[in-house]
Amino acid sequence: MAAVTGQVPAVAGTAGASPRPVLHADVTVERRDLTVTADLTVPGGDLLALVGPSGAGKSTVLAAVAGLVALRRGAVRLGDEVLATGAAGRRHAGRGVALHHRGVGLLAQRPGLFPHLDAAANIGYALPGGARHPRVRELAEQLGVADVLAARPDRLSGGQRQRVALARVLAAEPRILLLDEPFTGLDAALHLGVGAVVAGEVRRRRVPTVLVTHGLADAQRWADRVVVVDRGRCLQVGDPAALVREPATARVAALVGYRAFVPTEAVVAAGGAAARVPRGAATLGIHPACLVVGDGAGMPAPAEGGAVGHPGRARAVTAWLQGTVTALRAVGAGTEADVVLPGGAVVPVALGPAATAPMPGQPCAVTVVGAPWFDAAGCLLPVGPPGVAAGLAEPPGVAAGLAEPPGVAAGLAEPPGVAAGPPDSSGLAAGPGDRP
Amino acid sequence: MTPADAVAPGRGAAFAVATAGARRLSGAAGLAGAALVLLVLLGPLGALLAHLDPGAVRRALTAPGALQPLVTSVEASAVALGVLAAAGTPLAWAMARGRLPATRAWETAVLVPLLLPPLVIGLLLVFLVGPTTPVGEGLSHLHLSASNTFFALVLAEVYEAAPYYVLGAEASFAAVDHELEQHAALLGDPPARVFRRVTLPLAAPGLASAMAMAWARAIGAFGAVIVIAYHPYGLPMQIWVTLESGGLAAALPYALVLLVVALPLPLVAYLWTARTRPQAGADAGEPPAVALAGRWRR
Repeated sequence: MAAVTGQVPAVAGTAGASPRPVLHADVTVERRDLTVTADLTVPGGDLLALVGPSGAGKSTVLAAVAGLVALRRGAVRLGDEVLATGAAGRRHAGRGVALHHRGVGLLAQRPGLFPHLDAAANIGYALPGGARHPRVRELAEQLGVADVLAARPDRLSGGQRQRVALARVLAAEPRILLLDEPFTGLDAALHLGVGAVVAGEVRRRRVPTVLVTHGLADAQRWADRVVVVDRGRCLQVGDPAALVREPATARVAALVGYRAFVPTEAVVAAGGAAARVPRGAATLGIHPACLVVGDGAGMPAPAEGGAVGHPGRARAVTAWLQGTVTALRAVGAGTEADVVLPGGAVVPVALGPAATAPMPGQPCAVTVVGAPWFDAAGCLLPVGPPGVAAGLAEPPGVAAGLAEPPGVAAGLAEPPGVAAGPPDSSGLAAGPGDRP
Repeated sequence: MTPADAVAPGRGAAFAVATAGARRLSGAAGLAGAALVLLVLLGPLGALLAHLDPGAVRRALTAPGALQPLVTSVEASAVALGVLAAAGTPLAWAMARGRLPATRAWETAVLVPLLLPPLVIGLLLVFLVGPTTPVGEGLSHLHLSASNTFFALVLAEVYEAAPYYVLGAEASFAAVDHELEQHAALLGDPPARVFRRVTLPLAAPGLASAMAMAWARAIGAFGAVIVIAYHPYGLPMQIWVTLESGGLAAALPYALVLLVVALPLPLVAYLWTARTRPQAGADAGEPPAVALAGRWRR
């Protein structure tokens, strides 16, 4: 199989000349089980990622923008052109511009290749000259399917079909690009290469692009902005890294990779004065990438646990908890430990190469670097300025430990010192947030 | 090796022999059953071939005007099929895509000629288009008559063959993945071009088999034909008339001719369908239902 080059030939004159049309999609669609609402604005050349669990309505949003389902309310506009408007009532009303005039490139979850045409004819479907158009071979080489151009779709593997379908979409030079899980069925190397080709095309042709993915890592790598979708609603929009660092709610946190929510006690800075949230009313969001087994972050962990404000981020704390290692396994070149946190949640934690591996069944100190706090309603809590106490004293004996029944707060103690903030942990939370 | 293992092989082998024997027995029974069915289905064909006298065939086919019924039948069936393809294909597509109001009602209407005995269709057609009816009078203004004419023959054949073609074509259109049509449209094809480039090629094997079935029905149409188109003689009428006047042996040569004309198209279409089926179903995940029966799954 030919290698995916990922190199995008620079075409002079096409990039700068065209204006950047902005895609506005304010859509409400009735699905059988769910009403899906989304309000997206994507400037040309930008890549917006929709992230969320299966069945959240991500694909439905794409179908609505593409014009495959009728809008209940709202409108889809590209620049000044109205592609579709909503019309409550009749099923086929309000479709707007006919599909073949929309210029939408849709890569659906099922590739939908034409079974009676070979791969080349599929890619060249929208091109004058069809399979013989030079662009067919060019795209096929970029996407690593040049050696299967003569094959019918039923002879292709799943990943090859996916890439042929992608090439077919890109060859048509759409005005709007909609990609539904474009990276499924691709191995790691292809994954990056295909992503680079897509990103290159998007930037070069200044196409507003919406990418649906359930992997946050893809969204973080390729997208300019990420929308978290859940049960038909957009919960939060933001810069991919910021979204993981400051999820607005506990639900968003759970969707962007936070694996555990440890009930605890919080002190919240409100108008400069510290206000105390009653015990159990707040939860600490824990992302596996922010966990260090042992007293990480170069700071001595207080035996009883505790938390201090995070120096770089106003809405995160560094907290110490006690957990129990239940299992160890090799992951890649390193080791991963399953750690049971106070509250009962099990979180896989990658152990650094220098870390002394704890024995399964043994309690261990767990440092959470840059954890957001959520109130009882699940909303993100502001935390005091750096270094100010965020957790308060517990009687030492009751501190989080093995004896605590699940659900009871992790004990928090006096911070180890106002001046001693974690030296450098700002990069931790921005790491890949989506681990299987 | 444990004692148990030492004992097991013998018993296992005996068991294997027993199951293999049972399998061979059931296989033989299945084969016999299949052969019986084949014999019953193809028996008449064999009988026909066994009773044919080559001399009689030569005499019958070289008599003056003997081939005229064949020509009439082929022409009338070709016209009937043309009418069906022109009018039935769009109807079948519209029914398959739910573009018609009250799709069920249309399906039932198409089904009626299939459910009515052909003879009854002939009788009703007389009442509908006979010379004294309004339709018949309208036709006479166009210098047409729907009784005992070539036109009447075509009409009767259309009625008998229409359900086979329209329902078969509807099933083959319904088997074309609508998502593929949507992809073609999104890639810039207007509806007519989507139909030509995607829908039609994918439905073609199914359409061909529906067409073949319709051809066999049309060329063999007899019930409605004997009522409204006794003349001009097509092959079925020729067989009937010869049978009445000259007996079985005299009619057999025409039966052979009818078979030779009626069978090849369905056979070719069937073979084509069988060959293309796996390809057409590769992406849709389901082989297209080309048989008429596919219609009833919805």
